Amino acid sequence: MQSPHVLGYVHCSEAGDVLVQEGNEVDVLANVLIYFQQVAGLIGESLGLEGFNEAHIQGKSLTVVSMPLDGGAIGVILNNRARVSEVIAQMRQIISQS
Amino acid sequence: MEISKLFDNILDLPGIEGVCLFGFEGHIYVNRMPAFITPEVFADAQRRITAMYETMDENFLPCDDYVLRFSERWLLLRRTEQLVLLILAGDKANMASTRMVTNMTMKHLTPETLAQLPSSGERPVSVPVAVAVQAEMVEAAVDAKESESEKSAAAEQPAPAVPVTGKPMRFFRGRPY
Repeated sequence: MQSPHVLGYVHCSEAGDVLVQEGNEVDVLANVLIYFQQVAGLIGESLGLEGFNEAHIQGKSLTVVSMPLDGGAIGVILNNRARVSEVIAQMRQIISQS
Repeated sequence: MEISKLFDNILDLPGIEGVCLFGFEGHIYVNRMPAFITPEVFADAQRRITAMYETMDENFLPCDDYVLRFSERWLLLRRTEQLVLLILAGDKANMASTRMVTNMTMKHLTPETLAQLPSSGERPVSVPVAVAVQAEMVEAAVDAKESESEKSAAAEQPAPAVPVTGKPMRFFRGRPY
């Protein structure tokens, strides 16, 4: 959250329960995050791709980065000025330390 | 500009392994996906992509671009009003380059340019479809042929040209092989 241009984040369990959340717009993201991650995995599976790592949802004014975490998912909302690759690197670092 | 060249430009990029353009109604306009992705398999992916767009539009925000990263490859999904452009790429492919080239492609996707595509206007999928003929269909066709020949040998027979074999017949674009 301290990174520039990060608007919020949410961590959901596999069942869809919100474990942690902070920031704006994350309620709406929390509702769809697990569904999105599951369907993203299924799309990859359909095409023979395994090991879903991350997803970027790119809208006109914001970007969402989603990653699997402990069976659930973590989603971070960024504005369009954020450096997505840097935020992802930070997210990976935090996940590996936790 | 010839539209097929726009897709060649995407495939020219290092690491890009496949391109597909399809409509939300199910029609596939361009399919340059690798051979291991069969039409049946792709139909599943197409259905799921369409569902994902609809669900995310209704429950989150209308977003046109999705990047899905997997262990060795990634998928880029880009939407126009009625079409989805799907790119399959390896890890070494450059995302920024892919975006730039696909921006150009998407600019040129108009009804006029889509009409240039050979498969455009056909309702079935444009990718090769292998159809196994059911045994009952073969038997029915043979029975019809025999009864016709008994009635009138001289009469013209609309009998289907289906040879009797133990194996199911397969067709490629309407031709048996």
